Amino acid sequence: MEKLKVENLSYIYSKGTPFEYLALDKINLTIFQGETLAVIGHTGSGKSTLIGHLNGLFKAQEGTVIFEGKDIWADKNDLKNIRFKIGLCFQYPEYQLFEETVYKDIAFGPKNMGLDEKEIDRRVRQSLEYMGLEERYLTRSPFEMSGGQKRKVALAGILAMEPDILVLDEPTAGLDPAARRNLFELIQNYKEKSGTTIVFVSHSMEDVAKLADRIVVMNHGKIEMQGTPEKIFEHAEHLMEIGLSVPSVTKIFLKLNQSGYHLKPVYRVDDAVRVIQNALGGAASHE
Amino acid sequence: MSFIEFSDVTFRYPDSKKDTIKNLSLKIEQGELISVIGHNGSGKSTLAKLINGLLTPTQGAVTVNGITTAQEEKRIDLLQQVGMIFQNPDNQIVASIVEEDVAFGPENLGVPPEEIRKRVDEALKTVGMYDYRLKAPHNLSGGQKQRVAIAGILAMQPKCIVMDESTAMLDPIGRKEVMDAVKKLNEQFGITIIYITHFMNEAVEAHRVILLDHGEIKKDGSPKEVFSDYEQMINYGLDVPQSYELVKKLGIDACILEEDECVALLMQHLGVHGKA
Repeated sequence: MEKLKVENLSYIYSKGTPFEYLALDKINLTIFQGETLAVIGHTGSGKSTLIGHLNGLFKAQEGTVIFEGKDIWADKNDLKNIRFKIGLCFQYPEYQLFEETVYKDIAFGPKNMGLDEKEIDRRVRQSLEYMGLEERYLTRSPFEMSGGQKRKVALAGILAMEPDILVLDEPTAGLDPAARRNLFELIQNYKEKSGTTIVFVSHSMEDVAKLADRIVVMNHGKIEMQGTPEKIFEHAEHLMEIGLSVPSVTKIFLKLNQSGYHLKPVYRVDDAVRVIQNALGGAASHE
Repeated sequence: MSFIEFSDVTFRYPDSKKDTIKNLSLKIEQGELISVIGHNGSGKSTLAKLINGLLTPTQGAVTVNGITTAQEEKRIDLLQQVGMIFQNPDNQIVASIVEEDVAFGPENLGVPPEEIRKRVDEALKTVGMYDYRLKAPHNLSGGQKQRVAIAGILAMQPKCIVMDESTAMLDPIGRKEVMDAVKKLNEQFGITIIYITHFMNEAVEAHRVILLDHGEIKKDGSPKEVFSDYEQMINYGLDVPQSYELVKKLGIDACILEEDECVALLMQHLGVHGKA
């Protein structure tokens, strides 16, 4: 089912000045209910401008953003609701914590939605649980927590609005490998339990390969390609040409195939192991 | 005496109940390229700040090129020898034109104007940013900004540069640009580099890797020596390069850290299988 649709979207920065910059060039994109969609592209390719349009943070200069069949800008008074339904989490969201306690910070969103105390309380506790934090943290100041914990609190604040679509801009940037693995597990678990549609931007192809059902590749304000990770990483060489990295195993297989092998392209280590074992096993049975 | 020496250094932040660095001893020679890895909170950044005297030890001593970092009167000498690049490219640019930003350091050191001109041009050429010398920094990409910051340090002619997760906020291209610039400084000018990173594929490009955990050095050696124990790396909250993970999961007992090495090994392993 179509959840959100972007039609013919264009956006120019500093329009009408000598610094004019075309950030988005007639983008068409459909986001489906329940999917995890990764948006990749090099710096300046238009990723952040695109996701800023999804909840009306940017107003489309051309084109429309349609949420559940309705133009999000059709009724300006309704835009606030759209922002509750499409939860946007910026890069380094921990810089946006501001309340005295973790509880208040997470409750800020639901409070603004006009929910009653009981419902707010339920949501705060549930979001905290989704982010794997214990209840004893609720009374603490978010500023006394570690960087990784702060990020989880910031994310919990968005989950507490129970968005239909969760949009994450580089959710794991700056985290160490263990913290990154942990946060991805929590996000995945949240997704399984809540069925929320997730859109995330990432530079880490290893992470994208692990998490995404579908990938959108941006280049110079346009969608260069979109499809399943399998399909996208088949074009490893092209991805590298437009300034993107591909998972290390994908590169290794590419090099093997350039040396005369005919192995199925892979993007995850476990798949790579299987393909190599098959190649060995399959051939061995002929001997 | 080594270029950098930590002698039984302990550091505790004021108001903290535990030591961030514990009885740490370490020797670094001039010209080394060292990466420092460890999970968040392992003491990496504290170690970095102890090297250039932004922090001084609670116990023990740190010396850099014979200067004890705790000596207040030698602070300027020290800062001149050890430059530091931080994580956020937007937090370390001070001027509105690239070349003015690079000139900021030598100007403050009282270097004569014609010498500054020379140093700025050379530094920008070294990091590949000379063509951007008249541009405004805010229009540059993250990787470009970090290279301008490196040029700014370079213009002060330091003996050592400490990079504290300087690539964490960059995209893959930006990361590579910075890594290439750093390697060049090390190879061509013999500048000692201490490279703190969460990216294991960057860490393995150093000659020597130091693994920190809870303020202690757990491992110190060549990338292969440090990464050889796969399970241990995961337990320390770290990653291993995918090359190694792949080889390990195939049941091959070899510590392979680089892609080309992995390709060669797999070709050997596969032989003619998979060619048909």
